Amino acid sequence: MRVLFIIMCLFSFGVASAQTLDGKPSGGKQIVRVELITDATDFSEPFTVAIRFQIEPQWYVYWINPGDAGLPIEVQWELPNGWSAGKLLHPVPEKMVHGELVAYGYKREVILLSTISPAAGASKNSQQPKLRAKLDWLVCKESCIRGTATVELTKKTGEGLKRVSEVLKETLARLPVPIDRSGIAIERAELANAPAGTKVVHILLRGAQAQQVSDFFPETLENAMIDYKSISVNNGVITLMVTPNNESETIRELRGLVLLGDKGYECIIPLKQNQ
Amino acid sequence: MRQIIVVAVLLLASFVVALAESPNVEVGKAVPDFSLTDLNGKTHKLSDYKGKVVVLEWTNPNCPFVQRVYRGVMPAVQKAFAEKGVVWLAVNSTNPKHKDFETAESLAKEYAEWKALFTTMLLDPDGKIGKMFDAKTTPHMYVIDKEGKLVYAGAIDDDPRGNKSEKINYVRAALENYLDGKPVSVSSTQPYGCAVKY
Repeated sequence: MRVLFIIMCLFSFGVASAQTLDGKPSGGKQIVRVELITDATDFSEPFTVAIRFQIEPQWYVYWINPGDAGLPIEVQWELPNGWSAGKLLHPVPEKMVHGELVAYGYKREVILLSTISPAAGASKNSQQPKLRAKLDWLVCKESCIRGTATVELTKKTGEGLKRVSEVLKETLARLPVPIDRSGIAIERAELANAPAGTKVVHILLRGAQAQQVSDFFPETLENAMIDYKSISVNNGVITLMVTPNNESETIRELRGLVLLGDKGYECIIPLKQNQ
Repeated sequence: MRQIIVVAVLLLASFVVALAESPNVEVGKAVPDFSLTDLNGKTHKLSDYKGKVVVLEWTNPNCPFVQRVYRGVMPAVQKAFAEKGVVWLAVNSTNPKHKDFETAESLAKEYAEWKALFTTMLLDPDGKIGKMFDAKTTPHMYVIDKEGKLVYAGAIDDDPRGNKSEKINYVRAALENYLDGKPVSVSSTQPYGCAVKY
């Protein structure tokens, strides 16, 4: 009996350390497959790791701002002592409009990147460290399913390593970049009172391509709700409506991505209070 | 100068748009009367409950967020406030064409299994009342005071992931504030959950 128990433990450990785990999918099919990969071979210097989500067709997971509903992906690192993980980098998401509701997320595949820094004094010959990430996500199609998994950094060699390098390179190219690299600048951003306790924000863009800006994907605000359906861009002016959580709240800045073609440009936009 | 004019015109235009699209229901304002039928086909009007505090809860039993709150604190909160005379109306705006749609019978069974203690569940299959309230998620919560004024709209609590050991239940807080004769300290929050399946 005890032997059976040990075998079962071993078996379940084997499953848990595999690359793919998922919340209960409907119809027995795995909706999301996840893995943690790197092309690094020298672990004495900071290196990039990627968390790859491969998603069944028509399903999607969410960006850092899920929009009107949903939940962003959460990652908790389990690293050796003294090691640290940098900010989690998300590629530019897709905006999905379902009737009155707006979602920001990813279909098919999304790869999140982070830089892992080793403890001081890690030697060049040190072996691949034991890195794990606990993942928590919500995947939706018509309905939503919560998923969790723990992934461990897997070792790739030869061709596999080459493919990971390519994947990382492609992912880096899809990350948002600071707005000052776009040739577009924020001329002025103002917030003014609108009816029913809401506020209207106008962001004036300037630069050769300001007129081609197609959308703005805001990050969430802690003290106000954004009306995602209200976001519009016309002739280089972004307009949106926000509602503070209560009358005394001041919205000092907006963060988000200015969309130009399929590129996203990160910006922090201080708002002038225009009462 | 040209840009200032552009901004001025846009500001004006957006006021007009905001006025035109202004939702029917706002925190601090009286809620317009409406009527919906319950699981047994009986009609309920909001005005039937005039003089009572009313909680509206948008719900869908297939949503993992709804499942979590019902397996957690929801029945206890419903019970505690039912004892204080609060009317709790769960509203289901799921479109009959959506795969999450369920018959009245199966809804009754499912919520009974969770020991839900709302006053009744109302059906809004055409989504008209959900859209009037601008209900976005399940759950999405509203508290209406004894005078029929909306005093809270938003999330059930401050714990979208369901992993906080100490969470703030905004509905409980708003009800306690109001029943204690105090102003509601947090009157609107960003709701979270599944999209309402209109």
